[in-house]
Amino acid sequence: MSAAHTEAHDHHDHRPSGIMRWLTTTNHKDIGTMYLIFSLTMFFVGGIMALAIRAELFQPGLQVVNPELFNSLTTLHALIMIFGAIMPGFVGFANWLIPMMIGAPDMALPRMNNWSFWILPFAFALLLGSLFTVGGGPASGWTLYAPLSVQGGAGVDMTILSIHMMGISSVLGAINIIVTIMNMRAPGMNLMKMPLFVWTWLITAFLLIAAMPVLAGAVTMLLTDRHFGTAFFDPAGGGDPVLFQHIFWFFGHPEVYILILPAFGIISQIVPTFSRKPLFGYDSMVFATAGIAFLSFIVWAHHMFTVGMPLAGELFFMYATMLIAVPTGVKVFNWVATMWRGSITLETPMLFALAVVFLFTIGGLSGLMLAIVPADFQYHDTYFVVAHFHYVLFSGSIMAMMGATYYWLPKWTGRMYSEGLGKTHFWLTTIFFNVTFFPQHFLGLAGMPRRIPDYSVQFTEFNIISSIGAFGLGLAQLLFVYIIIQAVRGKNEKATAQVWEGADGLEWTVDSPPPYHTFETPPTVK
Amino acid sequence: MTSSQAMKRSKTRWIVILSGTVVLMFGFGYALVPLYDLFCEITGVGGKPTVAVLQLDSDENPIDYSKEVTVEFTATGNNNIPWTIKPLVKKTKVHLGEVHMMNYLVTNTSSQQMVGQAIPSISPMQGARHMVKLECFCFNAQTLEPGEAREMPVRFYVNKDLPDEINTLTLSYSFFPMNESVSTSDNQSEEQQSSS
Amino acid sequence: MSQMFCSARSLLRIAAAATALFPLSVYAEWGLNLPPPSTSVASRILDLHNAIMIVCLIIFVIVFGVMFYSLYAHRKSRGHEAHQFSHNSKLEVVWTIIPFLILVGLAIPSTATLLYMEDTTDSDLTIKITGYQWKWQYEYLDHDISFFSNLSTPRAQIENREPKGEHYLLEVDKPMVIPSNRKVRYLITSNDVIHAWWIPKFGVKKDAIPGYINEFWANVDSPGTYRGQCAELCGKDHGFMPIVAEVLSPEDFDAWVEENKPKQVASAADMTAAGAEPAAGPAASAEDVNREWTMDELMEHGKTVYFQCIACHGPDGNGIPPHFPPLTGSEITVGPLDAHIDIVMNGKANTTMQAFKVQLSDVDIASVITYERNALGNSVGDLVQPSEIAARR
Repeated sequence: MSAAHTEAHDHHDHRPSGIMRWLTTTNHKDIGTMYLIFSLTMFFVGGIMALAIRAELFQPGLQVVNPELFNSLTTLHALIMIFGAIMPGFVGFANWLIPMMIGAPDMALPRMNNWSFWILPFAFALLLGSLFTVGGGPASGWTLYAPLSVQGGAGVDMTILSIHMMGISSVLGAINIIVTIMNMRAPGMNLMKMPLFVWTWLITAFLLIAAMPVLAGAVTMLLTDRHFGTAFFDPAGGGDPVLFQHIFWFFGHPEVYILILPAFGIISQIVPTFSRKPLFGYDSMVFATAGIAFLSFIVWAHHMFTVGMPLAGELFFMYATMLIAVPTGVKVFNWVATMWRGSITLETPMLFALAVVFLFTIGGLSGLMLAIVPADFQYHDTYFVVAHFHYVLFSGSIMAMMGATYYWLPKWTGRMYSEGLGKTHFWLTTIFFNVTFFPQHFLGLAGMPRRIPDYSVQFTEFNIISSIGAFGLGLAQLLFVYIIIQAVRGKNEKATAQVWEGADGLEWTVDSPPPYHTFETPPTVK
Repeated sequence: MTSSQAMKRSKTRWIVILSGTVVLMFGFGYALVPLYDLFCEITGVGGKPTVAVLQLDSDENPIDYSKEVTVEFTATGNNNIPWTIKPLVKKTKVHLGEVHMMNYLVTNTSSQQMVGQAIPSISPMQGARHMVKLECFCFNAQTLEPGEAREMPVRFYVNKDLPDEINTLTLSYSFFPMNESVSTSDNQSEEQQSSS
Repeated sequence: MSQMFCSARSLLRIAAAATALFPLSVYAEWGLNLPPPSTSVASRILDLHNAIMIVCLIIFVIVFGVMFYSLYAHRKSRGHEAHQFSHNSKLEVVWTIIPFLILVGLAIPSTATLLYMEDTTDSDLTIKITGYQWKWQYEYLDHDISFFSNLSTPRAQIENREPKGEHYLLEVDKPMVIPSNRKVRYLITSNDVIHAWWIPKFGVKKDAIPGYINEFWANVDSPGTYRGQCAELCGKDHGFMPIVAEVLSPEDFDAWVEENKPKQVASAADMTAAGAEPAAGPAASAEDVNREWTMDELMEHGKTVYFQCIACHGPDGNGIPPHFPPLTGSEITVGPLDAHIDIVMNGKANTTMQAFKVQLSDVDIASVITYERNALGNSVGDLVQPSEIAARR
């Protein structure tokens, strides 16, 4: 073992200062920090786009943006939030926490770790740059459905290239995480002792490796259809536009779980800590996660019930999709059972975790409704769907990351955040989130299609409420940044190594903040 | 010492396995194209009809006079090719197994010679593989002189094993310009941009 | 970037509206559920939707009832001690099996409804719907009737220069007309990109896919006007291609068919593009086509026809560069007449410029070309006679 460590020392110890430190770093904590800052930045970029969209939809008529830009904004908002905010955010947490949770000194492939991060800023510069090309940014929705996406200008090609780069980045990240978890666990840390966050990330990484290359294939076909005379999706050449949707969603549905499984892991860390009880049903949590991951590969066509599938296909995808409710239900029941007869305190991380369980379940239940094919014919491509996936992705993934930030920030910075401000941020976020997205259920049921820049007057009232909520939600996030900066600047109360009374796990055995290199000598797990 | 070497070997093994999976899954994305075609052929999704190469002997293909189905004919144009396509018969009733022939009248209304090809689609899609075409102008390049009108024949029969719940089949053709336009499409979009 | 934001003034207008909290629209429906159904399919969907809603609500209340009770009763501040249990196999089996059974209970009626929806047999009438960027075409296969249906909301309402009407963005120049209490079968396809045809009260939504044909059916209970929208992102004016169905009693429908049927079969021979029947939609009498039109007449009529061009080329002919070229001073509109006629009649490949000879009559085309050459800041001075257009068909 010792050779490996001296080698590691050689790599890490004489670190350059200033910008070069960040450009060349191979330290998992530095890289984790960069990922998290990047994610937060993209969260604001995507958020500003969302606010432009909501400003346009504040009332009927065209006021703020023209229809082409509106379509680019919805497309880029989705791509940025999914590939720029949520995925790098979770990779950031993985970088910081997985080595510390399994008792490893660093990630298994530190240099690759550095590359996989530094691809991202270039990928997103390219993506945002597409807005300034002659034809404008990509305007076909993030799903890039052919043949609409074949119509766009150079902006679409830049988007395709940037998706390739993001794909390479996340595949490299996923390989690194799997190799780390499979090889670097401290003695005694067998698989079924790993914290659930590590487990969910292990499964997510396998999903990434299986799904991202398929997306790369789909957009490559799109690119060759656009410029090199192939006809994968062009009916004129014997292709089929629906084929694109099949390939895209073969990636797209696992992607949905890539975006939510690490959040499940985070909730499974936070809830036991503040209930002062071990997680209920650890084994079934692991199996439920694996079950969800498996099912995610056989339900893709539920995104496209209206394209006209044979009856047998629609029935199969309906039943398989409904089945996902079982393992997901098990998770929710386990979290509730973890709280049951615990000794609960409601600090900010716990508040966020509770909100995630509560609000994600709303999104889960509306997902069950969407699985029912006949009903989906009414919901499909309406604001009901928009409400559904924001309940899953905002109040699922993003709020889980906010909770995680409050939970581990004292560990990372060595300082407590301001509990009062944290709680204020929580309540503002939760209330404005619901003001924004709950009325969208009603809009969808009443018949408002998604991705429209203007709407008929009957939808006005709920859109006004939704837009007001969106601006509140956006402003509340400035408070989040303030709270983080306050903690990082180190003016607050010092945090102990344990931080939280009920916290359990290796990361709480090292100092707050942890030394630059942790677990140089592996700890022993009993 | 040995354990560190073992770990290094294990890491390498995992990297190889995982990278292999990535390459495999990228290939799988492409493999979905023929797989999907195969799937469509078996289930009739997408409504691509069966084109029989062999002409069946009438003995092997006795006509079932007990059931009649309505076959409708329609056609859809395309922005990129100024042709008109018109079924000369809009709908007909056929017995299962009975060979029928009908014509589409295709006219090139432009002032240039143009090459186009027709893509067939059948609805409901469950019926697609039961509609067997013995002769079809689809998927072949058709060249029409300016103003030329040509009758294009379709010869087909409806398979005897057509499910009972289907009593109407619709055969639809869409005409598209031939793929030589793909290379010109780039020039055209450039032209479009420079002209604007 | 300059056209990214319409104007700073419009931002101010929004701010003003926000502060004034302008009076809530009189058309407010505050609908909380699916709209009242008008077909058997839609009413089955509504029943299904309500049933799932109730099941979901019950599950929700039970699960979170337990959670909130726990949050209340098992708090540290109330002195509750944590019980360190972490497994209960019996309970875990139960809460795996019960949801499964609930799902089976939901799947049964869903399957039945789906089977019902898929049965398009024994229809009384077939209508073919074709999606275009950004309009719909309806062809009555049994009656030789065919026409296009365009958004008819004035630009002034969209650009907030006029108050918005009751059916803002949900009104068309020529609605689809169908009989009530008849099973109408729809075939649907597209001319360019994927669209989706949806009227919420009918309970049907189907994608229009280029090169492929889909079908569905609806049987509407009672006469009336029903409205819907395109439900699949199809480009710039995706939000501006509404669907309106005018449902008549079967007798009134028959009368409508008589009135709109092409008068002579012979005229169908000089057909226009792509399976479209020319006579029904943009018919102009032979008399109109053959007589000599004056400049004023053409300009006056051309102005009304130009309405169809506004979405892309703008009310003043400025276009929306780089997507849609301006007409003011362009090589086409001030260049040789021949090329101008050609692009209007035959469209331009791989762009959204369509072959308007399918949709417009000879008089319409002649007028709009004349208008484009002598208005919108152009003054070429020449004009086109409808007879010239007819000769080029």
